[in-house]
Amino acid sequence: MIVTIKTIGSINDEMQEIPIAEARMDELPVELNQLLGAAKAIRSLHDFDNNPADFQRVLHSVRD
Amino acid sequence: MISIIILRIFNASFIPCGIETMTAPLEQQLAELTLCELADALQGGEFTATETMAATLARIERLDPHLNAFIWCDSERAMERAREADVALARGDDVGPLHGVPLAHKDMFYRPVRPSTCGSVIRQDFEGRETATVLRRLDQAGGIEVGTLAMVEFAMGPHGYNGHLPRCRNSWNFDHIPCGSSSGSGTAVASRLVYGALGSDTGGSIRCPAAANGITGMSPTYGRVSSFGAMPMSFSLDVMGPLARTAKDCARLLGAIAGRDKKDASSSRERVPDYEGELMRSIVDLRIGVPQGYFDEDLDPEVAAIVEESLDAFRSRGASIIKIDMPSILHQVADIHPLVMKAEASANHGNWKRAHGSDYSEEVGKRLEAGYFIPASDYINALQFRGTALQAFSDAVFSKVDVLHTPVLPIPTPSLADTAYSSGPDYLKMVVALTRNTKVVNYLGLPALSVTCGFTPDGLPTSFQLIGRPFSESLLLRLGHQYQHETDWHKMMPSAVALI
Repeated sequence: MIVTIKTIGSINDEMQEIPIAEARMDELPVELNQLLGAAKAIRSLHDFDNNPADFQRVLHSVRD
Repeated sequence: MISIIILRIFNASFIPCGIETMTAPLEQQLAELTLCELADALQGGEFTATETMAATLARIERLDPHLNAFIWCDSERAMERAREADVALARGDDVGPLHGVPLAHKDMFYRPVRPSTCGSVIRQDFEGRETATVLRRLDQAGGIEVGTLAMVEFAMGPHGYNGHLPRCRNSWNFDHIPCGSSSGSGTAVASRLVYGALGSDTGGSIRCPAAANGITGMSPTYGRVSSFGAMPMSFSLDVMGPLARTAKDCARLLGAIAGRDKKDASSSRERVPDYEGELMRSIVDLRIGVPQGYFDEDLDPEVAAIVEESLDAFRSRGASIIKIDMPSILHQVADIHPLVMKAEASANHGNWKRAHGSDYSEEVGKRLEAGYFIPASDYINALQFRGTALQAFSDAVFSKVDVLHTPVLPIPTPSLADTAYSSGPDYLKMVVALTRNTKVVNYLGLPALSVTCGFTPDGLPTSFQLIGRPFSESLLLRLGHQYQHETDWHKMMPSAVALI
């Protein structure tokens, strides 16, 4: 999925209602596509059964 | 403008009776002491808390108009607490390890009856209803809060600039950035305005200002230190920790604030070791890893040479230096960190952004915007990936070495001109470069200690960071302390401050 100005405009109008300057609308898709690209890259790297809170367990289990 | 209000508060209660009688040599003598040296001298009766506080306030009054490290200062309350500290000592009370030591903290740790602006217009009159756990613990240890320190608006930025405040200065060169977001903490400690300070670190906000100002900064394991009563920036990534002149000072401060807190569900039950007591344990045969990959990419050659040279001190004390390949997962970690940070920060700020959008500076307001358009499923996947990434990183790294040794800032500390706000690609590249070596540590939840190890040709300090296994703060502090035993970078007085 490629986020466009139109996508952001629609989501913002219908859901978020954040005041965003018109000039900024040109920049946001670039930033968002980078973030969403990073998200896409890790989609296959975690298990279905993984609870986000499991991070705390791993934190303690790898200490030694 | 918030700056007007802040300065009014500052001046209204600033000059305590008797400060004008303070002699400059005593101020100088006290300013040369580290936190631990001062605390021990106070307990030994070499100085009183009252004369120490008077000297501290006189120094702040003399230097801070040039540095802009302070947002708020309550000299009357600080002097009153110093007098109480002297009475307690004279009475023979059991006193804490920070008894009578002047401290000040990033302006995001709440305490009723004084403002916690979080560097913002929106919170310029905000007073927390309960005292932050870290402040309460420092109070119990005997530390005296002098005031609150400059920070980037809502801690959202690595360079240290806050459009609502007078410009906080780098203590070595006023034409360069102090880094942030704990900018005032770095500048105030380096300039000897206070002996230690708290900061918060979501992507490098303790380690970067510590590095830019030539002091020591500890970003603890996630959950090691309570976040209760501290402004949230990104609750999955935020950690609170000390900035001070030396690793030993950081050990004393961390020992005071670490440990389980019932008011913070994310705080760990892990036992708090005697950080200070373990500083001189042998480091013979400890394995220090020098990363091959990620941390050496886009690394300035002069910074690389200084950081590499710092390994000699560890070699001389018997540690083994081992080259180690970085797992490729670090690049994914670096890319996904801002997604978590922006999603959580945007959620926190949503109501204010809608109602008071114009009260945010342009730069910080923009930083928040992308977070509102991140799908919830991608955010949750990014959190799910943390455990996987930490396990993979630990398997690849900590099976072979005990700590990693990397630069904090991969570039020399930039100038103000280099960091003037713009939306252009060079500016974004600089912002990303400042935190590229630090933010991955936050995502993995690991502890890291920033230690000054030399100066780049422009006369600005640069630092290495030691990254360890979860809850290995004791080891990091031990290595930092023994490095500072072999070197004297941490003893140097910032050149810009010396000229004032």
